Amino acid sequence: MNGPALEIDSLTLALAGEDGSPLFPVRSLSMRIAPGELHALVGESGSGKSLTCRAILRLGPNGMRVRAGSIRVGGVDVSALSGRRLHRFRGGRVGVIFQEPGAHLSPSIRVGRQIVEALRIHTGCSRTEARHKAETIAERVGLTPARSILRRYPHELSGGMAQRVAIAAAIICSPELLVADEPTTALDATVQKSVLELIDELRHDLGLAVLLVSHDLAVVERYADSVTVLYAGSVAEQASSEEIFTRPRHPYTQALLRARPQLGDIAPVDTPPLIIPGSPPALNAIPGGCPFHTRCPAAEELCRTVVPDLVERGGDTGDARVACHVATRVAGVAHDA
Amino acid sequence: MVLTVLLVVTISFVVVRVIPGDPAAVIAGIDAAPERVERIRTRLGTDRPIAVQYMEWLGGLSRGELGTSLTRNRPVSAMIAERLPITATLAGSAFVLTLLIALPAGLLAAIRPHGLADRALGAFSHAGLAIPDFWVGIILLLIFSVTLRVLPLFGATTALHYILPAVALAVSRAALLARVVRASVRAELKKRYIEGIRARGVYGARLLWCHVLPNAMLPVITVAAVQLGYLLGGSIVIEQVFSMPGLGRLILTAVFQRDFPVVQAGVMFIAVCFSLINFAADILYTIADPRIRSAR
Ligand SMILES: Nc1ncnc2c1ncn2[C@@H]1O[C@H](COP(=O)(O)OP(=O)(O)OP(=O)(O)O)[C@@H](O)[C@H]1O
Ligand SMILES: [Mg+2]
Repeated sequence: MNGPALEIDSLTLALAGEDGSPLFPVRSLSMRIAPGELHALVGESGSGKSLTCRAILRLGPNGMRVRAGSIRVGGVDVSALSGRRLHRFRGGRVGVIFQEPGAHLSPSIRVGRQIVEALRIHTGCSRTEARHKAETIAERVGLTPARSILRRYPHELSGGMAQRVAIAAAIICSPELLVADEPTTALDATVQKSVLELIDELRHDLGLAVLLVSHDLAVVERYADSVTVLYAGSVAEQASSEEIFTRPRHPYTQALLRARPQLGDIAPVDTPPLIIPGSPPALNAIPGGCPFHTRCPAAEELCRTVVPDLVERGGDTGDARVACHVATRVAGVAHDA
Repeated sequence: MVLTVLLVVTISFVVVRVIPGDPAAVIAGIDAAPERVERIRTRLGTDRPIAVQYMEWLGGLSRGELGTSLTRNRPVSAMIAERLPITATLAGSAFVLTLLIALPAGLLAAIRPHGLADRALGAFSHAGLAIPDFWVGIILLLIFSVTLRVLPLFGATTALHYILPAVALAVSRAALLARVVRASVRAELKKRYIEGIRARGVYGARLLWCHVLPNAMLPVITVAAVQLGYLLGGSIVIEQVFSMPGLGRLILTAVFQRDFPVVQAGVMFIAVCFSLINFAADILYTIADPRIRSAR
């Protein structure tokens, strides 16, 4: 396959607000993920990361609509799918893992059956074949001894094992895209690392495109090829991981990077990490102009009135885009000079 | 379990003897001379102290004897054996019918809250709970046996005789059980794991039967077990309406006539049924929910 595994084009999502007026939790989001690429989606709580993931799977909360734009997975327009084809698409072409793995497995069914369920219903493969595949994939994701683990129930697994089961179930049909919504937030540090290593390995070995939602910038820096920084539902900055971490242009990205605990920080654990002053706006009160201007140290008059476009910001590696009047002007000045 | 049964029969033993009424007087008739009543009382042994009677009865029980009916002079076990098939058939068919109505109806209603099926179930269960089962039975009798004449009126001699009483019993029980199914399935559908399963492309009937229903079974098993227990004890009113000589009527008559051994045996039978069914329900719990299994 040659085209991107995931291609989101100017996506705007709409939800019905409490008073019936429409809210737009995600606005004009575009992104592309190539096969084998790991793309990270970062941003504060409520910035629309999970809703984006749900929109890709068409598993949106009730009332969520695609207001504009399109989502394509492997060239297939997701919003055109319906009925059987939609179900086959979920679990067949996209795999998904969530924050709490245990909470997403059926409590009364052995994990082995849950891992191969998608395979059984989407490809109609035989029981013995399915069992064989389950064992192979269980070993692949590090569930050993596979036979005995496959016979367990979800409550008999540790969090890390449950997440491996979820990963196995997500990739059993060889999807082209894996959506991982904060897959390790609920796990402790060492387990976290091993699960991320597994995802990283799988995407290299299987050419799996991965959309990774994470709060942990250290994780993003370590594993991601490219990054989208979301603020209040719109893209602040989008670039290769290297660009983002070495030359952040958007004041929000810069603030996020400053706010993370530094490696070698000797600050006592109980002091809260440096945080960006203020809090992200509520969905029904996203300010006009640049959504970040209320908290931005560099905000000017223009930022309060005009929504900045996402424009090429001139990166050293690949395309890099930023939505900031100030950053764009500075870059423009730099170009002129 | 044995303890529960013993407790229940002991209480019933005391209660039937403490409430006013004398079997000897019933047998002798209203106008009988006091000496005659006294003679009968001695013959029945009901003139002795309760404790003595109790020990004697327990002794019989340990030899597997339920005693002899005071009014009909027949072994109680034979009387129960004669009635049991009728009640068991009626209870069994009513119970199966209840499940056949309640499970699909509850599921259908749960899939689309406030949808057509849900509103239909709402109306059905309101009616089913508000109208007593014997009333449903009388209406059914009027329609099918009196007006249409397609089903027999009274008795328990053919399979056809069981249709109407079984339906009458099932309607009321299904009205309750379907609500339990609906509520339980609704609660299950709101849980997070459903999203995970749907994300794997599982949908429709498979999602419901393979994932939701097994997880939603616990409350359903509990209620259904109690319902089956009551059904096996004999549905006194329905047996009366349809003139079926089942256990319920046997016990009812025995209570009126103060036929102590029959009442005690009947109560004991019901207690044993309940205990056995609860035991079976416990086993079903562990099958339905592996978390209970490993908690033991
Ligand atoms: N079902 C829903 N109905 C209405 N609003 C919702 C619903 N789900 C999410 N939202 C709102 O949409 C916005 C985006 O939510 P989303 O879950 O995508 O955030 P997120 O970036 O994943 O945050 P977090 O980091 O906390 O997971 C939030 O303001 C949230 O309150
Ligand atoms: Mg989220």
